[in-house]
Amino acid sequence: MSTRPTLARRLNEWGLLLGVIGAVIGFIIGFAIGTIAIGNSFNTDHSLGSDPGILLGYALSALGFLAGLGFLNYPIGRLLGAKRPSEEDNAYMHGEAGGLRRYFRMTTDHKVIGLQYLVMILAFLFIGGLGAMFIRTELLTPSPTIANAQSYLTLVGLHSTLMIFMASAAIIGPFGNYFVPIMIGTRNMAFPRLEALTFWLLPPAGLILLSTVFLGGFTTGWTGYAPLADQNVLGMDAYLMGFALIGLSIGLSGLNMIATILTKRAPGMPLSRMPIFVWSVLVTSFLGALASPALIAAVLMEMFSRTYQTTFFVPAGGGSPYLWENLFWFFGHPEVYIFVIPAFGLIMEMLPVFTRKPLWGYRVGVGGMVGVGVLSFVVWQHHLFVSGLAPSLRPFYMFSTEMISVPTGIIYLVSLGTLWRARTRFSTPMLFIFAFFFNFLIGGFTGVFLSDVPSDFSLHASYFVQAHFHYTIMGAEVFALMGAIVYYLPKMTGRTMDIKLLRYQFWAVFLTFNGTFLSLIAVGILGMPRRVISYAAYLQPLNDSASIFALALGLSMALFLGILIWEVVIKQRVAAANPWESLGVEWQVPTPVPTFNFDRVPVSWSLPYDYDTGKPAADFGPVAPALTGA
Amino acid sequence: MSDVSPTGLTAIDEVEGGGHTLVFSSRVAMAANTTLQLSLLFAFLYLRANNFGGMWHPSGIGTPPQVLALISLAFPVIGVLALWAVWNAVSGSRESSAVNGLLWLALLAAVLTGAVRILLMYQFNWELDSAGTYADISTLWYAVLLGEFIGVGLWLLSLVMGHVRGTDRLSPAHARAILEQWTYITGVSIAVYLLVQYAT
Repeated sequence: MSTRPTLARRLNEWGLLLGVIGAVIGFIIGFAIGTIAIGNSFNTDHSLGSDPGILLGYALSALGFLAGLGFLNYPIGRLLGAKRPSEEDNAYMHGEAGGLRRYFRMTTDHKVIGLQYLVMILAFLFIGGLGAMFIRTELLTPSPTIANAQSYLTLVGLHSTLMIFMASAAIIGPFGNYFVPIMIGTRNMAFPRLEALTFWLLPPAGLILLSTVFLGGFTTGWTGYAPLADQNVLGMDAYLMGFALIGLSIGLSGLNMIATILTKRAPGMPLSRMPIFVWSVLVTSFLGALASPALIAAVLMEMFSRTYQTTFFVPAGGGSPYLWENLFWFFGHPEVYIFVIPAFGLIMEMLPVFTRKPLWGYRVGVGGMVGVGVLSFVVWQHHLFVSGLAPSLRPFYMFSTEMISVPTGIIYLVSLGTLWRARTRFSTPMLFIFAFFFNFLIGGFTGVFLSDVPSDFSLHASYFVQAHFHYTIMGAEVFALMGAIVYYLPKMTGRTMDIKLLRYQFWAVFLTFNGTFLSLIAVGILGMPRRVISYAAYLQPLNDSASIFALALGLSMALFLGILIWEVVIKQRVAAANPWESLGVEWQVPTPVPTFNFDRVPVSWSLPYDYDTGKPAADFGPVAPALTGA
Repeated sequence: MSDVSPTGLTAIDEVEGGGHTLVFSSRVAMAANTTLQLSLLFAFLYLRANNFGGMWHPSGIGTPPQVLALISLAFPVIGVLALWAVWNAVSGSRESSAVNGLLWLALLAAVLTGAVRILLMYQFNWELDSAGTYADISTLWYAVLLGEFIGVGLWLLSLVMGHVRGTDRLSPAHARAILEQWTYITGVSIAVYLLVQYAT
């Protein structure tokens, strides 16, 4: 047996601290090289430094952070022809017997990574939410009060970009990583180190984005349109590097999930018996893996433009701003479904548990998700209806966008069909499920309006679009996220929250959310453009309504976080083993889930929705004497 | 030890599944890379078609040096042939010395590929702020491909080192995966060469 930990392991215990040190050193080296060796050659004229210096500094700081965490140990070892890690090393990296400290270092256990994702996403959503509170506070009056136009635009851009960053991983990050391997009966992901990497890319991405406030901010909003992006100060570099890291994380996460789901399912689990949530993760992963390279291409072009003075997006130099718009939205529209499809998957996974009946139309629901995924690649130009799309192309993109409402509607109807004649339990997660349906209905209907060219012309870039987007993303994904936290926390942590208290919180968040964004739909119909700090006086009552509701919404979201921290971290309220009486395999394994998930992998599988007979999803078969040590 | 090897099936299945997973994942990565390449192709054709202000390819802006560009393609092709031979040998369980030699040859081709492509990019001699968008997209595309050659080359180096040092013998799945990746990038490089050289 091992006596003393190796140097690599002892260093790994301090991974987070070493990562921070590595990031600082990396930034200094990158900044120096970029400024001296590259920056001077191209005569950049920013007072805080040069674009090459900042971009290279960020790139090497991210690399230094990962190196400090230990991500380079394995590849360098392979390059030197070292032996593969031993069983003992692998067990250590998996976090076996690591205690709480494994949550602060690189680990290959998908369950630890799932919880790391959950905490980090909640933290960044909180910061992004604070940004929203500032925005709504500013808009209490028609003219600027606490910010100027420049800082307001940066605030809007920061809020939206940070939320987009985190929303792209909000469901798959915590719940996909934690539950997909268990649901498909495998002990780990296909590439556990890659899985860890996709998580550890997010903190530098978020922090780099936030650092924009020290570099003058950026005024493009989350879409980063050129040529404004070319003209922005150094803060734009933070946006670009942050997005590059996020794009990388989304793509690699998608690749890993696809490989895991399609090649590592347990014997006896065909695709037709996969839980619907796993299907949603699979479809989303294809979107991530295939769409994010377009974003990376666009970001590389903009980085080249800001460092080597290329003119991809500058008409005077032969370029075109539409090139950015096309590449960005080729990624950006599937990105919307990267948010929503896993939310639908979670909702459909939870629904049979609370209706106590099988999921209605399982195969149709899967087909709907695949349909949404495929169609999401051929709708992106509806974002260019107003900005210069050739008129002859408009009918096609209008039609394809309207078409996407068909598979979306199918998914919706499958969910509603499950509710038909159900013995519904109105538990707290179920309330969030109902809210999901209500909010998504409004988000969906407003979306159909926007897919129509004439109405898009009158509503483009208004608060109507902003409210539509928030109804689909916050109203659907964030409500699904909150419901899933309540639902899955007992399995993930062995702790639970005060369900009765959460009911009050639910009604608070539901009513204030709708108060906020119904007000903004009205504001948008009345013609108020988004991203402006000043507006006409007659719009003040509606804006005030939105702001007051939004501030109350912020408080109710903070209440959720407060209950979560109080009940789970401080009070440590112990949960029952299977409080919702689910038939899913994730509830059949013990809590806490064993390090490698299963003492024995199930020998046969069925869909986890057979509430008519109460048959569990997995049959572990008779216990073989040799495996039990008998 | 109840957490490890729970069924007895896994000890066998995970080894075979590992090879399958590797080859499959490598192909998914190629699919993702295809989106990246198509994005660059779209940019190339879009900028060429628009030719705003006649700044697609202004007069006086040349094309990459023909001979060096061809040499930069010859080495990856040699690499493909060597890796194909490696895959054949590993699949047929031939003796290790032949595999070693072929692996070194493939690695040499990879190193020379990287070196020549860096030299080629130095020979472009374009002032990117005024050379037009042909020069911009060509430079970016060559840089992306260089990065990919370096990435796959490092992977090849790790396989060579493991095999030669005997710490990790090359499996048929690894040989196949790296052959496919290298062939894919070589194919894309040839297509990009033709585009940049002749669709000016």
